[in-house]
Amino acid sequence: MAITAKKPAPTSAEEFLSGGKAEVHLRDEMEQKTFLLRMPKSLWKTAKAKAQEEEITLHEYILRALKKDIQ
Amino acid sequence: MGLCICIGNEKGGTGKSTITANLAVEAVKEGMRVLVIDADSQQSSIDFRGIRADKNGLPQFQAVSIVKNTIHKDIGSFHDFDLIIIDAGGRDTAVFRSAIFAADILLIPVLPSQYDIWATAGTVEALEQAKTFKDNIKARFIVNQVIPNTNIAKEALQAIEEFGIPLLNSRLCVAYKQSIGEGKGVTEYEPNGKAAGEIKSLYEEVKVLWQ
Repeated sequence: MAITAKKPAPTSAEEFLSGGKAEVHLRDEMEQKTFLLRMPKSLWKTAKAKAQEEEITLHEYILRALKKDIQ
Repeated sequence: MGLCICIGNEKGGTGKSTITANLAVEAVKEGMRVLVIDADSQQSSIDFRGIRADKNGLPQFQAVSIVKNTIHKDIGSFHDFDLIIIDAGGRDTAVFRSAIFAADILLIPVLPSQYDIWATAGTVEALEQAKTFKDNIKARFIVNQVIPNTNIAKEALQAIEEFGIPLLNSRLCVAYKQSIGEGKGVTEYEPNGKAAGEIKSLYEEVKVLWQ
């Protein structure tokens, strides 16, 4: 049995055109969200040291760790 | 502008390009001026038209590639055609949705397997959304690669019916790949074959939709 959860109808033709699943997925992959991350200074120091060891930025190191945990 | 038929399903491998090619051939054989719009980046319909264009003695249709979300706007400028057939699909993109939006008739080829039926739900959802702005799109399912009189086929047909979109009576059971490679429709390749009978039946059914 095919069950489809209905989304709210688009309010304009443009919204309909840009609402394709592949488009939304692509946008989610490409677009960036920025937020302030608060962490204990000790964790920050350790992370920074590890990033330096691997010759990557702290940003890249945290992003990679986060992806590993999520995926 | 002529009538616009979109052969579309966001699920790949359902026979969109093959059906597009064969319907285009049937229509040109009747003397219609036909334009195929290939909205799929694989460009199978463009390739078919290229092979066919080299074959002397076959009635020709025109083909263009539009892999942009402007198809629904662009078709207004194609005044010289009686019939426009859009080969659309692969993924639920803005191009795919633009193709549905352009259509007077949406034909959704579907294979009789549970995976394919699940994957088709997205196309049905896109159609329902398109109808918010264009409520006169006629949609029909075409069941392709059917193995007749099997439980799988019967169950699949029942599942498809639950979408609430009518199913065309014509069933496509035979593989058509050889004729495509020669730039021919199946009614030209083997006029008395079973595949030819299926396509003739499908074409006649589709014609009723636009008349």
